Amino acid sequence: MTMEKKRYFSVKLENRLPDLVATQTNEGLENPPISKNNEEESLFVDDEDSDIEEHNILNNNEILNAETDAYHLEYKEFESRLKSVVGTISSHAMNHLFKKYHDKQNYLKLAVQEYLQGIDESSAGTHNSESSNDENKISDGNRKRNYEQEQDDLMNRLQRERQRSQEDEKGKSWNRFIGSLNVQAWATRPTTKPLKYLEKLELRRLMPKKLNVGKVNKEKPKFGDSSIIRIYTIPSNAEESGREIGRIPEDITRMLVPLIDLDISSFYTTVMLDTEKRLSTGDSFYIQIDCYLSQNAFSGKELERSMSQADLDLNALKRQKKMDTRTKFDFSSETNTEAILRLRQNSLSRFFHRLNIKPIPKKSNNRNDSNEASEAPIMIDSEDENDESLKEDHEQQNLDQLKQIMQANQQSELLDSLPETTKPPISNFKLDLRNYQKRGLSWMLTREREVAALETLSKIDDDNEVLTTQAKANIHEHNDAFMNPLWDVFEWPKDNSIHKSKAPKNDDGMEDNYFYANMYNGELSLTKPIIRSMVKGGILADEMGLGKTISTLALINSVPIDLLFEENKEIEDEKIYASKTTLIIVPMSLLSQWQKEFDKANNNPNHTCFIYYGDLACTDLSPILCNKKKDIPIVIITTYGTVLNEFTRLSNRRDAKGYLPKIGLFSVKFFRIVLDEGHNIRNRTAKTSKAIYELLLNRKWVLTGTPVINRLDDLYSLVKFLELEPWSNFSYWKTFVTLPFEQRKISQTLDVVKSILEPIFIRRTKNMKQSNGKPLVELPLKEVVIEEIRFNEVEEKLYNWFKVRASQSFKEGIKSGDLFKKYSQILTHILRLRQVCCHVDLVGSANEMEQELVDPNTNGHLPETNGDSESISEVNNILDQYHADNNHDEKFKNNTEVRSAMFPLYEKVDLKESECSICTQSPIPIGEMALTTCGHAYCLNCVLEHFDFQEKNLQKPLCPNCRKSISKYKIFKLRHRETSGKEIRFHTKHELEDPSQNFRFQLYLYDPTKTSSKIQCLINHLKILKEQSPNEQVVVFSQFSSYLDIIENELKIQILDDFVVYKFDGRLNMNERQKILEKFSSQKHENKVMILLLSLKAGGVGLNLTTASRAFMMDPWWSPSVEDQAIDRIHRIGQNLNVKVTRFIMADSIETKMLKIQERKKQIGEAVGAEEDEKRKRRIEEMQILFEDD
Amino acid sequence: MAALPKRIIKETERLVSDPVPGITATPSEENLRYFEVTIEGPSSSPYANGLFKLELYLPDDYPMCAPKVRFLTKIYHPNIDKLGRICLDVLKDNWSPALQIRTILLSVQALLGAPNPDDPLANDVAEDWKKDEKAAIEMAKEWTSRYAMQN
Repeated sequence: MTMEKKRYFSVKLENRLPDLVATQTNEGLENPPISKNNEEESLFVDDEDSDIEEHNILNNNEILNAETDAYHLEYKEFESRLKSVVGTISSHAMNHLFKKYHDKQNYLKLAVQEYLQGIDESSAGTHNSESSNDENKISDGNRKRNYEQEQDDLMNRLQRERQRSQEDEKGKSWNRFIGSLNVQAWATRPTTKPLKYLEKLELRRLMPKKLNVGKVNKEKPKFGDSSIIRIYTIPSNAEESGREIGRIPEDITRMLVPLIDLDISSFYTTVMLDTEKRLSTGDSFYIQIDCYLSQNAFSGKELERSMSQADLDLNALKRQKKMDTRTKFDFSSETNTEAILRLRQNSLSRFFHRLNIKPIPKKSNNRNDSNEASEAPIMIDSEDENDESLKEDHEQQNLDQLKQIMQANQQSELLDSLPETTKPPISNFKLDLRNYQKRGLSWMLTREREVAALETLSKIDDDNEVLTTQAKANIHEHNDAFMNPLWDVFEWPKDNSIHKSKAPKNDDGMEDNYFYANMYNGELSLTKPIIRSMVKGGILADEMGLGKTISTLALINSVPIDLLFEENKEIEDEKIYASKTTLIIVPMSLLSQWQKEFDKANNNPNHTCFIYYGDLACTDLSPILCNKKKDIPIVIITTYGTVLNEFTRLSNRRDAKGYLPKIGLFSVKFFRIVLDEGHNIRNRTAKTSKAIYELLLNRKWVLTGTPVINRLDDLYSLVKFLELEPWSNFSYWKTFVTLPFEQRKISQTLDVVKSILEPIFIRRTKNMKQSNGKPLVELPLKEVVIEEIRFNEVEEKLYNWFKVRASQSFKEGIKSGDLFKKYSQILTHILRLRQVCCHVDLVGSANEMEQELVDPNTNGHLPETNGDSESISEVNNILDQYHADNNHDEKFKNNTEVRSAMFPLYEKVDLKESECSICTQSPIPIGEMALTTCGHAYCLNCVLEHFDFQEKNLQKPLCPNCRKSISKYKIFKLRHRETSGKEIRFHTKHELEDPSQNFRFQLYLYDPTKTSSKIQCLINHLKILKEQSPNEQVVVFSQFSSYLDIIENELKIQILDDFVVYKFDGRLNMNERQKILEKFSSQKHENKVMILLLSLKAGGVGLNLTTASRAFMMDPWWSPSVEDQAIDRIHRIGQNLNVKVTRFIMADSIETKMLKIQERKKQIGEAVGAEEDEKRKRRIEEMQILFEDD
Repeated sequence: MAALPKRIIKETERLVSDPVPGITATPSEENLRYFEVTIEGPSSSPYANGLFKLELYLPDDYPMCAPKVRFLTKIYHPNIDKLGRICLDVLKDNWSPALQIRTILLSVQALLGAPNPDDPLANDVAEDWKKDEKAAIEMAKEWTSRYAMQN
């Protein structure tokens, strides 16, 4: 039989009924027959009536038809079904109920209800319910029923019924060995003779007197409350009853009692050691308890269901009570049920734990796991940006883990078996789909259960069926059916009980070596617990740029209308069913884009797309969409805002039943709804989400590139929208996802999430490979250029000074034999060298550490502060020294000289008419303008270039305009006056009148030693870029946040007017980050180059900066992969242009050595998972590379 | 190849839109740094009525260094040698980035009007010039009509 025996959550009719029964009758009922088709388990069925069994099986096979079948219900079947629920029933009552309900859809429920509440007398007339087993027969009179009495009767009856059937069952049922317990027992009574080895004993569960079944309602006993188990001797003949001899430890008792009470397991006890003499009270003896799981354990009630529906049913019952005060159900039974569940779960898990029964680990079906893991970045930064608390860090990690799972969720067998040839009819859709999109379309069709369409559309030609029978079977097999994630697989242990023969072998179901258990609620099963969902639709979560829009349009064009409805019009809300229309809800900004895409793809003149927005919104859509032959738009596009607006307007006009008035988008039931950027409804309590939930729809799709944004619960809202049962019940979700996740049961939770999503979720990333090994999407070319830069004179002096010190301590370390003693010191030196390569001012910026190279064993305590102040003063010394050495005419001797040279220049500045005679730029932006002492204005960079060129050719620099001698130490720059009011006041005190007050700008002496070769080089590049493509977007990476500050400053001073500069580093909070990214990637500035300064650590991962195609890496990092990842921010899906990256490297410096180390790492692989020793060895080798002489 | 600096584009545009009287400079199609230049001989000089072809090339370092300029048309001039190379201070040490193609070409034109045999490049011509200026001028005129007046 191909049918799965268990069908959870499939058809409403199917699961509601047993739940109701289960909750109403407390634990008295065993097994609703339609949940299983195992013959032996229909406890309340008359054993002789084999027809009934057939009915049940039949019924089981045709669940979907159950409702329609009700119309033609035979009396016999009605009887059998009713009997199976309520036990025996008088023929009068049966007749009455049959007449009344046999043609009702939910006949069984109604009948059971009435029967249990008492036959409705007004309609029942003389017919009275009576029960043949009931000794207190109620006469035919019209006397009012005592409902409590009836309740008790029922309970009694059920109890007896249960006992009887248990006895019946005993012969047939099987037990299977699950494990043995070796226990020390104590004698409670003296025995007549010593116990013998292998003597059999019996465990008996003693019921305390008060647990009277007949008084269930009043006593409210808690199951297993009184845990009494005694050891009895096994009587030698039937007449004798055994004799109590002892007891077992309390903890074992507690564990076993519920198992016995719930008939989950049976136990066979054997004496393991001869006792020397007869036992006196209190003597101990050793027994082995062989434990068997009984068949009954596996036929358990639908515990899970009653759990998920618990509050629902409870509410229903409460409502019912209000309506019908005669109903006397005991509502505490609900908690009783729950108590049993808890108890069962508790004792089972203790039991398994004690027996050392462990689940077989779930195998990961994520084939990309290993890849993903090795790609995981090791983000270590020399800069300490520890403003995030550890906890946040943790959560981030967890979330990252989750995101990783999202990375390659969809690698299922199902997807592999789907054809890659599916495409929408050419008459509807004129675009070409990529192969993975075709496969995606196949999947979407499968999700909508359009197998026929899939078959037609995937055909390449008429002769070849692409979709093999096997594949189709696969689709049926996999579609919607997946193992319930709450369950674990267990292997049956080998039977090593003492009395193997005790366990009767039963062929049925015993060949299996596995059984399944839900350790959340203690349910057991022999068959794989399968969850099926009826959801038509799913989540399409392809990475950005893989064409979610196109895929959706392909789906719409493949199945534009509800064919099923067209054929037989069997859907209830026929009048308002827009069977030919898909509603697409998009963010406002994407409205026009969707329309464009629709037009681009559409090839059918009869297919139109209707924008439902603003003025176009109308009151009732049904005349437009329903019951028309022609001119029905197949797509309506609207915005989240529109839905929300309408919802807000309508929500206070609900009718008595709570329905919204049939207006606007809420006036029809759509064939299909697609939510673009579905994470818009990630907050289930947000009004937009609530509005969306209330739309009427048949098929539903969620498109999102980022299914999880902040929290795991983001997913819930999507699940709720999709009505993916049971997860769409929040208490269920909370129990199995939210809470475990909060309790840090991360991997377990992720497993659950994974299985929840698996059937309804597809995600492809650009990293995935097609079946032919090619990536899904080819990226544009990427060019990475290393640009070597020479130190300027000052930098070189500084660098050499630090270099000498560094190699000294390195050599000392080598000499002393223990490099690691000097390790931290050396690291500081290395850091200084790298900083000098970037900018002198970086030296001494606080708390910077070479974490990557820090050996954990040396504890990493650096003489940081000393080193810093020392370094800084040393730097100043060197700079002063240098300046003193070069102090010819080139520099001003003192401030007076500066002022006397500077003040006359004010008159000469002409901001509007200035032209740089070197680059012909006119006017020169105020930030770039540089004045020579002779009063000629140039762009700073132009004149600096001029200086460099002349220097290189050993010529004295002359002013290009007047050929007077000039010096780069005598260049004045301009800034807007308002920016530095303080300094102006300061200047006015001097003997020379400061003319700056009369001008809008202020002059100041330019200090060429303050900039760095790298920054200057960057600025040159940027200027060239600006000339070539004035609207370019550029990303500048550095690992030093303080370097980014310096760069920002320099850019602002030197070239601000043509550029817009943004900075993104670890100091920004989430909100600020988002804002900056938004500005950078969406705001366009006419004729301005946009620059994003990005910290390697803060922006290295995750960001999408594809609007930029140029990047500069200011400094190298130890690990090449980190740099590659940074580059991938712009070189990724969505990038349409060739990418060019320039890496600035100081020539003949530590940076060139770092490149060597990078090269080495690329070759031998990074020591991520390496042993500590290995890592240490590598570090030393790397140091040697750093310090080896050229 | 490095991108064309804005300045070169600007200069070229201006040379075309606002040409110097008596001078043309057209960038080559393949290489915008290479110009074909013509200079009319100054009317009061022996080179009057002559149209001299030159080539001008802007090196990568331009405008930090001077353009390279050379006569293509044969010319009898003490500061211009057989190969057309020009001895002119602004093309050498006296170059300044503030100078432009236009100013350089004007200087060249001026050089035609004011030969300077005391700072010769073509020594033989300079000697002729010093020995017998008249004959030299005649020679220059003859060369001009022979080489610079075709068409």
